[in-house]
Amino acid sequence: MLKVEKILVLFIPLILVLAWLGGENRISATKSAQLSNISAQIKKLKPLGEGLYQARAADTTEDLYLAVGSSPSYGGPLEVAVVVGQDKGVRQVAVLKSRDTSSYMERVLGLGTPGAFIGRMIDDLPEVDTVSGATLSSVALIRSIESAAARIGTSRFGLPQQPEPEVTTTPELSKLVLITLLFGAALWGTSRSCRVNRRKFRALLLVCSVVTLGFWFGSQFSIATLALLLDGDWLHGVASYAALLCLLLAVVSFLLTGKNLFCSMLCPFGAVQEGLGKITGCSAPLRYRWMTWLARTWVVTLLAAGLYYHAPAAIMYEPFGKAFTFIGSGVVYALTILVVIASLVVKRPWCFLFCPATSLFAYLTAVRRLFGDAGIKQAQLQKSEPKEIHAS
Amino acid sequence: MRSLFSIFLFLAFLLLGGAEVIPKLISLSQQDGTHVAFVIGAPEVDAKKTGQGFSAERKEELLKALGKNNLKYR
Repeated sequence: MLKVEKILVLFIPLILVLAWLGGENRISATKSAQLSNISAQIKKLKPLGEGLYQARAADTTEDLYLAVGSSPSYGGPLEVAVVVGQDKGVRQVAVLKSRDTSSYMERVLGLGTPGAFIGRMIDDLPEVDTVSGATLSSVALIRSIESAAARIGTSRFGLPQQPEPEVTTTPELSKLVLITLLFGAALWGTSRSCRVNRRKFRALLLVCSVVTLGFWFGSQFSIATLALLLDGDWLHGVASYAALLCLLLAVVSFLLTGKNLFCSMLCPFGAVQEGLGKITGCSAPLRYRWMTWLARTWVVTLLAAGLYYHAPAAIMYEPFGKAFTFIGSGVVYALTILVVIASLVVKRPWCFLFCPATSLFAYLTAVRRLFGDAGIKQAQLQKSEPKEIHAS
Repeated sequence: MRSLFSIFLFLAFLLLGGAEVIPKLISLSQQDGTHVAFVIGAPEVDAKKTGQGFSAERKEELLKALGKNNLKYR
């Protein structure tokens, strides 16, 4: 192992920890300052209790109540503030903090979900439909608004306390079980005890993965999932743990067995690229050493930025969302189209050239080497990983 | 030829990835921790302190979708 590689293995976690700590120091402003920014109408804000404030309207001198509500969303807790007047009418709704991918939140906000609450009485809030394609974000937004309104209703207007909405865990649990089964099947498929045709088994697993992890769950892990895991905000709750579990199982199985099960057997986006490549029978692209190091530097820089700003979703650039759930910006759309076309010319272009997972597993390989893992089997690695071509 | 195409693809991925991420990071760098991501129902809200974190390109579409002028968004 090269000396510089050893230094980097230890240096990269240090960079990420420093970025996270720097971000913690950066957030020095108080919640009151943030709430005052909701509207110039909000004056003389004073706290009444946990997540509850009173203010004075600037022009009417009416007393206003502000409450903060939160609910787990896809990328972590979604925090909302609701401003209510003396007549129990909702005046303003503000999203204080969202860690969801902006395209999904834009979809929810663009369809007017918070607007439905404006002008309504807090004891007569509307039944708002969830937004198809961004269900988790819209459910979190609606629940956060209802939670904040209920806080004001019970404490200031003597309204009866509403029971907490039931959290449906069955679909989420079934997702987690199915993901674990997929990894178990992938592990079995690469083991000696597997007696079936390995190529056919791998193809079947990839198809299952495209259907479940790709289209059904939309839970392919990305650089944002890695940042979310490192940031630790998922400990406060996320609406879906599917992508996190995928990432954890991929990392743990790699560290324990040396097999990159996810990239070789389960990655839905990789499967789509490979499927397209089969049409033309193309070969892998050339990856020069400068590309490898530039891609790794890019990943570390983005992770550090995501941790510094405590905004994992902001660093996501992969085309997975557009490919499977058809949500994403114009740039991501262009990237998706480029990958699809390029897949007909070279094999798995995204995986070989720019996927952050490739850099992640390269780092984990270096970690295994550094800590003297005698059990690492290079042959297994070569079998299970997409073979990279390094041109000098 | 494959070599040139590989280089082209890599640079295109880098360029498009950067175009997706860098504006969001620039927007985050301009926030001081007291910004509000999105407000509705506040006609006079200070746009400098709100809406950052979402792309600017959606502003017109949002206003149209909501059918209101009381939204400051950027």
